This record gives sequence, C-alpha cells and structure tokens, in this order.
Amino acid sequence: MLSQLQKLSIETEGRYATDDELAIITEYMQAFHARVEVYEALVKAEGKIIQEVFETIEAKHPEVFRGSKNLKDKWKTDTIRVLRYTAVAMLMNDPKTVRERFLAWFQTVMRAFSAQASCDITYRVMESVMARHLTAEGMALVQPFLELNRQVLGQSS
Amino acid sequence: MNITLEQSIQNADGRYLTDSELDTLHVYIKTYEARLKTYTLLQEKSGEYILLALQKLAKTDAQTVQQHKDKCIRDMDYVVRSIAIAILRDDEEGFRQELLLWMQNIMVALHKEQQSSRAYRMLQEVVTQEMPKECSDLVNHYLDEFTKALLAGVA
Repeated sequence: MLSQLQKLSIETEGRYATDDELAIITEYMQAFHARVEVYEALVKAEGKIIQEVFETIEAKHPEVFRGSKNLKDKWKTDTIRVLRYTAVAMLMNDPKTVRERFLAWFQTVMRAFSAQASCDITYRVMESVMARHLTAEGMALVQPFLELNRQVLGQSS
Repeated sequence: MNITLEQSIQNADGRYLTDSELDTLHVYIKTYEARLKTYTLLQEKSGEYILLALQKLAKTDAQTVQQHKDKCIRDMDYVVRSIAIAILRDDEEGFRQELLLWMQNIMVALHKEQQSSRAYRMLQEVVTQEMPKECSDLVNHYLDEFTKALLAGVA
C-alpha cells in the first residue's frame, strides 16, 4: 500500500488519479481492520509459531540443522526476522517494499550460505504452522507473503 | 499517512511497528474516507471552484484577472491538484517541498504575490461555501499554508 501511495503521487504528476488507481487504495482501506487483526495475532503468537516450526523441522527435516554448532540459533534469529518483515508487509499489503528493502539482500546472504533448501522447507512448514494459529481469512492475507519469501529465498539461482 | 510514518515503516528493518506508529496508521485509515471524498470533489469540481474564485477576485482586481486569467487558472489548478494528492496521502511535507520548488521557480519571479494570495483567499471562500465542512477544513488548511508561504516570499 505504501508503494501504491507513492506510485500514485509519482504517476499522477500533472493529472488526477483514475478510478482504478484509487480503487486499489480504497480496497486496502476497507480490508485494513482484518489486516490489523492478523498482524496482532502474529505478534502475539510469534514465539509459539517459531517454536512449532523449529520442532517440525527438527523432527521431519533434521538435515536442515546439521552443520555448524550455532546453526539452530542462527536459524531462529533469521526466521524471526523474516516473520516480522512478513507481518509488517502483510499489514501494509506491500510486497514491493519487502522485496526491495529486505528479501533481495537476504536472498544474497542465503545463497552465500547455500541455504535455499533450508529456506524452502522453513517457509513451507511456517505456512502449515500459521494455518493453526490464524483463521482461513487471516491465512489468505498472509499466504502470498509466505509464498514470496519461499520463492525469493528458497529457490536456487 | 504522513511521510514520516511511511519512512519509518519502510525502514523498520525486521521489527514490529511501535504503538505510536500503529496509532498514526489507525488515524490515517479513519480519516481516509474524508480524504478520498475531498480528493474526488476536487477532481470533479476544482475547475468550477477556481472560476468562482476568479469571479470574486475580479471585483477588486478586474484588470489582473482579465489579463492573466488563463495563467491564473493553470497555476491554481496545479496548486489545487498538489493539495488534493497531499490530502489523499496526508503528506504535508511532500506538499511543502513541491510548493517551495514551484514558488521559487515561478511565483516569486513574477512578483504577483499579493494578487495571487488574494486569489487563493477567494478560493478558500468558495471552498468553504461549496464543500462539506470535513472537506473544506482539509483544503483550507493547505491553502492557508500556501498563502502564508506566498506572502512570506518563501524566505
């Protein structure tokens, strides 16, 4: 939505916005309260979500945590960070900003550590875990951002 | 949403929003309907408002209006459009930046600050008469800023 508002300012230089351009913003405003509810649910459940994702991966994909000694701690720090970015991006409905300001850079880091497979598993598991904490409507708002994370971070170049 | 909030959200860098940021966001969403209504009204009727303002101005500045009517309309249309997008986005800072640039480049060079400010005062009267109060309050706030800056010569 932030990107949409900024785009509106830039692209409507010298003219007023069209109905279609305004409709995108208005749609966001109408769904805002639903987004806030999901955002607050994610903030509240962050600890549980991370723990459940961690336990599922440890049980079903133990290879993710094989390797260096502090891999589990590093995984937790990274995953919390991505979850927070995801929550804010969902609240603002702003895939462009999260992609440009975070995911593009984080992708480089993950690739440097050859962590794409681990990311792919993490964000798949995160989706199934979140579905237990959110309503179906809430999930529909978050899912595109989880998919974006998985696509950007989980795929090989 | 004001530009400060936009920037702080975009630079949040892996943290949740603060309570104050969330509150500002809520206020913006709450006032959005009035902002959109104002924007749409300006989009549809600003031409009419500007003509009414110039008719009022012609009572005191007939010659100026006669000589510079087209330019007045063009300039006022530009200012009103900038106000409309600033209201929609709640972006006073963006408006100030745009207004400063524009005035430094054009208005001051022409030395027509007094007549221009009278024209915008007339526009404020028209806006007050013609728009619902929630909309005219928003527009007149920006027109106040604009005329003040105009008369201060953008020091």
